[in-house]
Amino acid sequence: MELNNEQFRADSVRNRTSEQNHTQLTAARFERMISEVEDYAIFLLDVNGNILSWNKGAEKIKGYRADEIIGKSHQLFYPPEDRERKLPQQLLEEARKNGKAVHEGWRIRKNGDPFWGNITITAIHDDFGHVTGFLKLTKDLTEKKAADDRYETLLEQLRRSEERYHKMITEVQDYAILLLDVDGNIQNWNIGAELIKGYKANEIIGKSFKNFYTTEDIINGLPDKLLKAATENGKASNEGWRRRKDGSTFWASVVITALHDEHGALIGYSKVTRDLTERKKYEDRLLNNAVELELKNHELLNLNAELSSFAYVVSHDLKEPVRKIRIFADRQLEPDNTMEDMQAFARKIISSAERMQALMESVLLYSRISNENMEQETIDLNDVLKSVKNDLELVIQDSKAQITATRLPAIKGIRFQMHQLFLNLLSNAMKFSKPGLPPEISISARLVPFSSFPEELPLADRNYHQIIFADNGIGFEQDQAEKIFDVFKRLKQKEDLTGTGIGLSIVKKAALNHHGYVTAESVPGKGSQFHVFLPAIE
Amino acid sequence: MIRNFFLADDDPDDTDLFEEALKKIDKHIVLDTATNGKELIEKLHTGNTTPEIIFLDVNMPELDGWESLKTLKQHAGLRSIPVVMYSTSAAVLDGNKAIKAGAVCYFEKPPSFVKLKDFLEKITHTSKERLVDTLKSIEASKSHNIVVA
Repeated sequence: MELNNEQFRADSVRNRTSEQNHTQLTAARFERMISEVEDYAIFLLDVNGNILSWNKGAEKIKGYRADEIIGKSHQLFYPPEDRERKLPQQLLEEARKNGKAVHEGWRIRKNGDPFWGNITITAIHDDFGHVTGFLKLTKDLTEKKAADDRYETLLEQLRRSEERYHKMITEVQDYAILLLDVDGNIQNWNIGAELIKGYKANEIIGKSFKNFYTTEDIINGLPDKLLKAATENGKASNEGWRRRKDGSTFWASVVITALHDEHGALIGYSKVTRDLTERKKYEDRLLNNAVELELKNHELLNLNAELSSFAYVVSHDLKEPVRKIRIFADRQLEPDNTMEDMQAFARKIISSAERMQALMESVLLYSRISNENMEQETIDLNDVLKSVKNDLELVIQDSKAQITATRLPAIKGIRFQMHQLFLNLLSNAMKFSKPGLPPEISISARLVPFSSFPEELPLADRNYHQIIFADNGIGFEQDQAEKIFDVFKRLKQKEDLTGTGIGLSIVKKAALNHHGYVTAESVPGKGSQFHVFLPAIE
Repeated sequence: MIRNFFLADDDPDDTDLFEEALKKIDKHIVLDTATNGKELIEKLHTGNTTPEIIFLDVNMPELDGWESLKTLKQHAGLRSIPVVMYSTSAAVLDGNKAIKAGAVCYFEKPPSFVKLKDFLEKITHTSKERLVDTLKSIEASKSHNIVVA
């Protein structure tokens, strides 16, 4: 277009050169060519803006034929508001001053329809430099304008939608929604992130998301593992403790999603985090309740077994001496008793009464081995052993017993019960020693591996101390190993021994009360081993 | 007439009372004793004793009354000997258990010598064939705490 105008002016100047004939011919041909151009309206204006010539393009774009428009003002093409603000005159003035005026704007066709015109007005000068008229060149850019406008609108919509989306994310409070670059550095921050993690946007943007992880997780490489998993699988989820700005922790549910550009190259990650601390606490509470319930259940089962053994004690063991007292008292009433008979019956009555008393005291002691109203304390079992050895000093001296012990652990429990447990195991070991062989008792302790727990232990996920009492006594048949712990169960005949048979029941009850257990193994004549399991302090 | 008795009991007082009662009934009655079930079974196996009736205490060391009863009833040569479970525990508690395990009756240890003698006297006066009938009549008379098959 520009070129055309320049050429035109050059040509009009050349009209007045010496080669006039030739030039005139060329000019005529040129005018003819211009009149045929269809895509551009090209026409001449006089100094006042009246139309002097018209071409095909002008007719096509503006709708007027040459005879309708020649001699009229070019103002006709301008909409009323442009005419009012004297745009046509201004453009001519500008062209007069600067040689050229360029403008884009709405113009009016003959039928009143608007079109988007791109206009160049070029001033034409005579040999003295006076403006003699103008060449006006107009292109119809209505379609391009419409396309541009559509594009603008779309762009605007996109911009707004992006803005809304961004606002939405910014305003979300329940989720921390972040963008990370490929290295895991934080690119944006929302209100949720601020509320959950405690950082303000300006404190954290640009820093690594590793800031939210605990030292332990960072040492274990968890943040990198998550990014790697997201890169490989598109997404990575994780639940765990995370760190707030103030150092406190929260239970986070995290989803990291890999983001890709249109060529599939990784450009970063989105990271959505929820604070599930309350839920986690609730779940943990439920779990604790379940464990507690399990323990209570276990205690109830033990209590139940104990109650039925008490019923048996009453129906059998306590009944027995009463029956004998009745029998021998009854026999004293027989008419033909000698003095010796009477005394023998009296002795039987007394020994039955004594036995009755011993049994009742045993039952009382047994019932004192109870967790009711008992304060748990940390007990050093070395101290317990020392005080039990003190209690048994005379028996130890008389039997020449050797008691050796390795270092024993401290446990949480009830001192009286632990004392009874040690007392009964040690006195039992001395009571059932081989005749003529001084008792040798060794006590040792070790922390047992998970797999070797007896199945009766209530807490499978805890460490237990196994305390082993080994002796060189008479022992017992292995098939009696469970029975010996029953209340008032004796493996030996009544006349052979002192005591009531409650000792090992007390040992078992004390162990059970401490959420532990006791087992026994023996080879007759080779000695016995008692294994006491007690939970280790956590 | 039942004349050969066996008592397995670890309580020396009860064994003495039992022996004395039988002697007072008839000094020709034979009583063999053991202090636990193991000893009882051994004595029966050696064949030195051929009891017509066995009294089994429940609570004994080594092999208790229940285990002894089970062993006896599993043994072809001993199964036919009638067994009386003889214990301090109430008949209403352990009676049915004894019958189920194959005892001819459960006899709760009586609270007087006279009663013991009375019971044993009734046994000595009956025959092996009429033993159950005799026991049933004792049960019906309610003079003793007894449960019969």
